[in-house]
Amino acid sequence: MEKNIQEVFSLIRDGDKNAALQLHVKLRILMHKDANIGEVSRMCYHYCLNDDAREEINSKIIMIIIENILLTDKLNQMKNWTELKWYSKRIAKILIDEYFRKKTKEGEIFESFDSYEFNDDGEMISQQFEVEGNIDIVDYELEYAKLFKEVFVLMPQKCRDLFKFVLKGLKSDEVIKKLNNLGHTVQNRRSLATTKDTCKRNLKRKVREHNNYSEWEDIFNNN
Amino acid sequence: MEKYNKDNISKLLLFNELIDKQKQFIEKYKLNEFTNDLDFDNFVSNEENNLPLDKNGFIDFKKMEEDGEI
Repeated sequence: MEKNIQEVFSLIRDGDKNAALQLHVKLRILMHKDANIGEVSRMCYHYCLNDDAREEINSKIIMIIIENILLTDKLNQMKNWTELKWYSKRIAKILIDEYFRKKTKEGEIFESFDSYEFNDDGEMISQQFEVEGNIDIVDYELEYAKLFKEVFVLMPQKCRDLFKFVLKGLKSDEVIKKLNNLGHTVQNRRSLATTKDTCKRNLKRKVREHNNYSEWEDIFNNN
Repeated sequence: MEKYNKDNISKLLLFNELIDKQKQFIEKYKLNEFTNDLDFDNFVSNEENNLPLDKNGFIDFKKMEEDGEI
C-alpha cells in the first residue's frame, strides 16, 4: 500500500529510520547506474561527470531533501512522488552547475572559508539558489564551512596555522619553515607528524565535548 | 527560524551517517535495481527478499539494525 508522501515526510521528521529508508530507496531509483532508468544519472552522464562526482551529487540531493523535510516547510505542499522526482532533478541540475563552478576554483575554498559571515542568531549569511516554485537550496559547502569555522576556533594557534598550511597543499619542509617563522617550534618532519597527531587528537576530544548529539540519538532510539 | 543552530546541524550530521549506512544496505539487498516509474510510484518492499516490514509497510531497517543483521 502506497503511503502519502506527506505522511512519509512526517515520519521522517519524527526520526523514523524506516521512513527515511523508504524515501532513500525511491530516490536511489532515480540514481540507477543505467541512464535509461536513472534520470539523475542520465543528467550526470550528459555532463560527463565521473562516478565519484555523480555519487557526491546523489548524496547531496538526498541530504538537501532530508534537510528541507526536517528544517523547513518548503516541501509541505508536495503532493506525490512524481513531484519529488522533478524536484530532485532540478536540484541535480543546480548541483551539476555548482560542481563545474567550484571545480574552476578548486583549492580556493579553504583559503576563503574565514570570510564567511554569520548573523547574531548563528545563521550563516550565505548565498542560496533560487529555483522554480520558490524552493531554495542550501549550499552545503558553505554549511560545512560554517561548521568548520566553529570547530576551527577550538584549536590552539599552532594547530590553526599548521592546518592552514596543510590545506594550502604546502610540502612538509615548507610547512616546517613557515611554522618556525611564525614562532612555533617544529624541528623536523618527525616532530611535524607528532604535532599533527596531537592536534587531531585534541580537536577530536574538544569536538566531542562541544557538540551534544545525545538528544537526537534518543529520538531515533525511541522510534 | 533558527535553521542552522547546533541542534539542527547535529540532526543533519546524524542523518548523513544514517544515509551512508542505508546506502550500503540498499546495495546489499539490491533495492536500487528497480527499473521503471511504476516501481517509483508503488514500491513499498521487494517481496522476493523477505525483508521484515514495520506497521507502515516499510522495510524495518531499525529492527534489522537492532537484530545485528546490518
